[in-house]
Amino acid sequence: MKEIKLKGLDETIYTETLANGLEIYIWKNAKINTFMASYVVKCGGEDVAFQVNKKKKSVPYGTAHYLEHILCKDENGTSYLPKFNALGSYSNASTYPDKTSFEVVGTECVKENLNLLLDEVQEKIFNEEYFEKERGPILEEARMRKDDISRIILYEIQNCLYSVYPNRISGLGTMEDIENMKLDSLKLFYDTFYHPKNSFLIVTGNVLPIEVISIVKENQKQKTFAKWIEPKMEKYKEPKKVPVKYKEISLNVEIPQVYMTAKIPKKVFQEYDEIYLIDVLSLVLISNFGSTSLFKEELVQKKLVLSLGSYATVEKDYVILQVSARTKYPDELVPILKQRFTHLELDEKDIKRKIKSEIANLVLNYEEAETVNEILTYSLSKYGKIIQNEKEILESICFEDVQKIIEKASMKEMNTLVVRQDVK
Amino acid sequence: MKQKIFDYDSYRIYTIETDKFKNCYMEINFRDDVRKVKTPIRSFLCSAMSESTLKYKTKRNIRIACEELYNVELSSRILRNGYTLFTNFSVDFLNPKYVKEKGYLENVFSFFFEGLMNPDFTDNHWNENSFQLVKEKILSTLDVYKERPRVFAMIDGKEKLFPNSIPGKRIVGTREEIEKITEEDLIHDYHEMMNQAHCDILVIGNLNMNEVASYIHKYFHKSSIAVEEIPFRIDSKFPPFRKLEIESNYNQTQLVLFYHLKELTRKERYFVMPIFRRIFSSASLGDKLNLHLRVENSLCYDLEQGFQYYDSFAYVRVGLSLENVEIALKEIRRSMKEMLKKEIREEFFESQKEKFLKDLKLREDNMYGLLDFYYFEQLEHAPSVLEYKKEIPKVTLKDIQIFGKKMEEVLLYILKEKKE
Repeated sequence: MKEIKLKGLDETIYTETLANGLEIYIWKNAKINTFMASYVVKCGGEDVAFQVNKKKKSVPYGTAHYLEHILCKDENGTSYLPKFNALGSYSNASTYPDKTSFEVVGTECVKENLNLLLDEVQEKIFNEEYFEKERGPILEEARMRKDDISRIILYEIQNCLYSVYPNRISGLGTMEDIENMKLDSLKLFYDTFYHPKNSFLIVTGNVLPIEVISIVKENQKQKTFAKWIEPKMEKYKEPKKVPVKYKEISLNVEIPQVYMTAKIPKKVFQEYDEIYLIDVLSLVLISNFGSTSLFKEELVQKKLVLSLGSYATVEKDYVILQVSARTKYPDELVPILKQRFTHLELDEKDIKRKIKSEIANLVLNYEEAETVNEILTYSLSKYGKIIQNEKEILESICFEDVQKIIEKASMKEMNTLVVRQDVK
Repeated sequence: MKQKIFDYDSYRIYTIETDKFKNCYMEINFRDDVRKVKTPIRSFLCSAMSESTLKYKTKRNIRIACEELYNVELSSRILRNGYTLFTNFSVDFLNPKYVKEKGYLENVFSFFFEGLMNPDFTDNHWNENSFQLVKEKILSTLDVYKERPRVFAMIDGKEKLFPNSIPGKRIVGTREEIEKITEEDLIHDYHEMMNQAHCDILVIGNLNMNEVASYIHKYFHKSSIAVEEIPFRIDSKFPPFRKLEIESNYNQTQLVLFYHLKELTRKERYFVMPIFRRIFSSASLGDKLNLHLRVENSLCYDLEQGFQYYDSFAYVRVGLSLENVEIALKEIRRSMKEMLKKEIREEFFESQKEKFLKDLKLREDNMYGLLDFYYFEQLEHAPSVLEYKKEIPKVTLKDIQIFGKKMEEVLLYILKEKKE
C-alpha cells in the first residue's frame, strides 16, 4: 500500500493496485461515523463507438445508462438497493458521459457493504425478463428529463458547439433508443468495459485502509475475470469551428436566459498544466462575472440581469468558457455581455482575494466522506491521477501568467444561445 | 462533544463544541407566530437585509467583505413549521485555527451582527435603490417554480388542498401582496422582528464557546423579551375526498395523493411515523410503494412521499404517463391496505427499525443536522438519541396499523401531461 500526501492539506490518500488491475484509493477520517465507497467504471453515456480486436463495434445511445439500471438487480431480478438497506446503508448508481459509478454510504458493516458493492458490479448474469421489466422506469426517467430545462439547454449548447463529439446526444438516449434497446447491446458493453483494469474503487470516511485492502483482495480472489481486451475508443476529430454561432429557442421558462460559450483549442495553451490553466480561467471568469464583479453590479443596478454565472472546463481537445444569465431583456443584454466576454478584464487584487478564498474552500473540502469521494472520483476520471499539489497550484498562480493566458483565449469561435419564454 | 446553553434575558444561545468539523456555523432564529406576521413583508425583509446594509451598500460590497474573511458564507431564509415562522440569518466560517490573522473570530462575529443590527435604512427610509432591486427580483422570480412540474404540482396541489389557509399560502406572497409592500412596511417589520420575536442563536464548531458568547453579547443587542408560546401544529379541517385534473404543458404527468394526517400521540409522531414511512415508501425499492409501482408494474422512476405533521397532511407524488394513472392509484391504495392489514415481513420490519437508528449516526456527521437535532430537542422536546434508541425497538406492527388508520385520503391531484 502506497501513501499519497496531499501537500499543504495535511491529508493522505492510501492506494494499492491489485493483481487484476483494480486500483483502490482510500481516505480515512476517524472523527466521523460515515464511510462511502464508489466503484467507478471508466465508460459512460458517450461511449457508443469503439474497436475490439480491430473490429468496429457500436451500441445505441442509452446503453451505459440502461446497463447501470440492470446491474442494480441480482440474478433473480431483485434490486440490490434493499440489500444495502438491510445493512443500514444507502446505495445509488449514476451514469456520466465518461464514467459509471456505483456507490454505497453507511456507518457499519464495511466488509459486507464492500462485498455487496463489488458483487453488484462484477457478478452479472443477464436475464431477458428483468431487462424488459426495467424499460418502463427508464422511459419514465427519460420523460422526466424532457421537462428538465437545464438539461435541454445543455444539449442545445453542445449541438451548437460541436459537430462530431458524441456529447451532443444525451447519455440517456432518446425515447426511441430506450424503446428499441436490446439486451445484446448491454452484454457487449459490459463484456467490453466492465473489467477491474478499467475501474477504480474509492473508499472514504471512517475506515481502516489496511482492512479495506484486505477485504477487497479477499473478494477479488474468489472471482475470475476474462483477459482485459483493451478496447480502442473511437477517436473524434472535432473541427475548430462552432457549427452554430447564434441560436434562439423557446422553452417553458419564466425568465429568459442567455448563454455564451467559447470553444478554444487546448493546444493554444500547451505550455500550461491543465489544472493550473482551468484554475486561472475560472478565477478570471468569476472575477468578471461573479458576485464581486463591478460589471455584474452595474448590470444588476440597471436591472439587466437577475443572475449571472460562469465556468471554465476542458472537453477533450478544447477549452470551454461559458457565461450565462437570467434576464428579462435578452436583446439588450446580449451585445453588452458579448463585449465583456470577448474582452475579459483583469483585476489583480480581486484575483488574489479569490485565490485566498479558494484555498480556504480546499481545506474545508476534506471533511465529509461524500465530498472527498467526489473529489477523488473527479481527479481520477478527469486526470487519471490524484492531484497532490492543488493548494500549491493555487498559490503559484502569478498575474503575468493570468495576463498571458487571457491574451491567448480567443473567443472567435463562440455560440450565443438565447432561451425565450414559450408563449404557448 | 460538549453542549452548552447560555441564557440571556432576551435570547438564548445553544452551542455545540466539537472538533469534528473544519468549518464553524452560527445561525440566529427569530421565531414568530405566523398569524401575527405578514409573511410577504418578512420574506422581502430577509432578501433586503442580504442585498445591502448601512455599511455595505451593495451585495458586491458584502461579498468582498466575505471573501476578505476567507469566504464566509452568509445566508438568510424564512421557513414555517405549522404556526411557527422562523426567520433565519446564518454564517458559515472557517475554524480560526486555520487562519493566521489574529482576531479572525471576533471579526466574523462583528461583520455578521453589523448587518443584522444595522439594516440599510435611515430616518424611516429604506435605501430606495436596494428596495426597488429586491422588489424587482422577487417579482421576476416569483413564478420560476412553474418551470419544474414536480414543484408546480406540489405548490398548486397544496393551494387546492388548503384554499385561503396558512398551509396553502406561499410565504413569499402573491404578486399583488408584493407590489403593495412599502419601505415603511420593511422598517416596521424589522422592528417587530427585533422586539417581538423569540430569539435563539445556535453555534457549532471547534470554538471556545465562552468566547463566542462574549462576542455575541458584545455585538448583538436585543432588549425586549418574548414570552408568548407559539403552537406548532395546525389542525386543519378538510372537505370530503376530491379529485382534481389540471391541464399542463409538461411532458410527464404528476399524480399527487394527499392524506389528512390526524392528531398523533408523541409516540406515534416521533417513533412510529419514521418507521411507517420507511415501510410504506422509503426503503430503497424494498418499500410498499416502490415495490408495487416501480418494481412489479414498471410504472415510474420518480416517486416521493412526505409527512407534514405540522400542517396535518401527508402525500405521495409520482411522475408517470397519464395512461398509467389509474393503475398507479390502485397500487398506492393496495400499498396502504397492506399497511393496515399488517402485511409486512417481520424481518423487514425489524431491519427498518435498525436502519432508523443507524441513520442517526449519519446525521451526527452533518454539522447542520447535529445542530438542528439539538435545537429541536430543546425547543419542542423532541427525543434525544438515547430516547430513540430506547423507544424505536418497541414499535410494533399494531402501532403501524393504528398509525395508518390516522391517514385519510383527501385529495387526488393530477397534473396532466400535454396532449401529443
